[in-house]
Amino acid sequence: MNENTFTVIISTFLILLLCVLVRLIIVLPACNVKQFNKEPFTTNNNIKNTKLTILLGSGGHTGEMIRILEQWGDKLNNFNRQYVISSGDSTSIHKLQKLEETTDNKDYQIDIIHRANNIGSNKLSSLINTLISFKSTFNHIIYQKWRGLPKVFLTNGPGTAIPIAYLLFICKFLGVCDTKIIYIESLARVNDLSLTGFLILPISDRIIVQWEPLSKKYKRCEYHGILI
Amino acid sequence: MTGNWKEQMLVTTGATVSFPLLIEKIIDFKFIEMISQKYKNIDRILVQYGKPETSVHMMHQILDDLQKVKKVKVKEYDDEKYGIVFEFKINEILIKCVQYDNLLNEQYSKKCSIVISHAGTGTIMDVLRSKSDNNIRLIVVVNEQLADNHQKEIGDAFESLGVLECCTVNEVFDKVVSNVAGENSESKSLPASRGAVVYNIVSEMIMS
Repeated sequence: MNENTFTVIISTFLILLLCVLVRLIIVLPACNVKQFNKEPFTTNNNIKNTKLTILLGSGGHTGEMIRILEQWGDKLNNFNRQYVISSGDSTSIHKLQKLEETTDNKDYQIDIIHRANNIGSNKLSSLINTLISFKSTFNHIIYQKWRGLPKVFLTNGPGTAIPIAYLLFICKFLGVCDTKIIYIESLARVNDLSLTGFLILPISDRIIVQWEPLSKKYKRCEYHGILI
Repeated sequence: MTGNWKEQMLVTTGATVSFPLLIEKIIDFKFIEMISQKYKNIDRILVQYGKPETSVHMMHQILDDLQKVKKVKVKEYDDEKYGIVFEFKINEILIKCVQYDNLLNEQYSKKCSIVISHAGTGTIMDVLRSKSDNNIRLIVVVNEQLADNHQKEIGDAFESLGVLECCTVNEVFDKVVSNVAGENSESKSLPASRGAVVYNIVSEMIMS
């Protein structure tokens, strides 16, 4: 390889890298300086039948999410709802069905993904499990492509939210979708974000916390009072 | 679980982990004697002691002493809804101990004058949200045996809002003795939930 070809190859590579970085800066919510109103507005126009994906994590996470959705009342009907539930979590399905009993518009679907979080098993099997979970989430996302990826992904943890959020972010990076990620931190977090919250922070468009000290500590966290 | 009791006290430790140190302090002859003297209206204590198998074992250990030393007669039976139930009477106060029930906090805290609870957000919110109509005194006990679960932070944060009292296992007795029937301070109620804000934020993100 002569000197000139080498220079061309390296330059092309550097230009590509630069393009990737510029794209990342455009897409990454953490780099976006746009400030949202402290008091969100209240209109219902143009949001009818948009696709909203909600993760029902498990136990306490599902409990908090259901309490929040309960307060939406009839307005939950405005969305085309997709609920993501971990395999084997029958309590969440039960709670969801109870919530959906009260809605008029039954336009919702439940998708089951493999559970990543397994406490007590050894490192190798938990690694395999994490990979299966990633693959299951990936299949889930690819499958979504024809049905349309969601306009908003709403989650309050736990760790299962991370692979979904990052896969959606990669799709956004590639220009496949324009999904906004909204993360709600658990009421149990007073002074520090959870690990899930911390990992989702850079790619999340909005981060809502339930205690004031947290919103003071992290610039991108917003506080509107206790949500549940 | 209907009955003709006047007032009751609820002690609840959550579903997932049991809280033996707290249960030990409550199912104690001295504690119950104090209740019967200080709170003349309380004639029933409902204790939710936890789902795990080990909690049943823990209950046997605690009750063994009571049966041997104080000659208390304990009735034990298996209930479809509540799991293994223990029932006994000390100083005319009926004490019923159940494993777990999903609706326990929501349903029974309404009928209570005092609730003693672990510092889990689920239980705290269940009690505080059912508080509107009558004034329940909520005492939250931090489980110091649990590492890294933020119970102290949660308890302190809620206490600073004036909606509950937070203490450690060793302070429970004194907490309950003091301030009988809200003589001094009346606790505030929690501001209404703001979950509707999330709907607005979702709409805002769709529109943007």
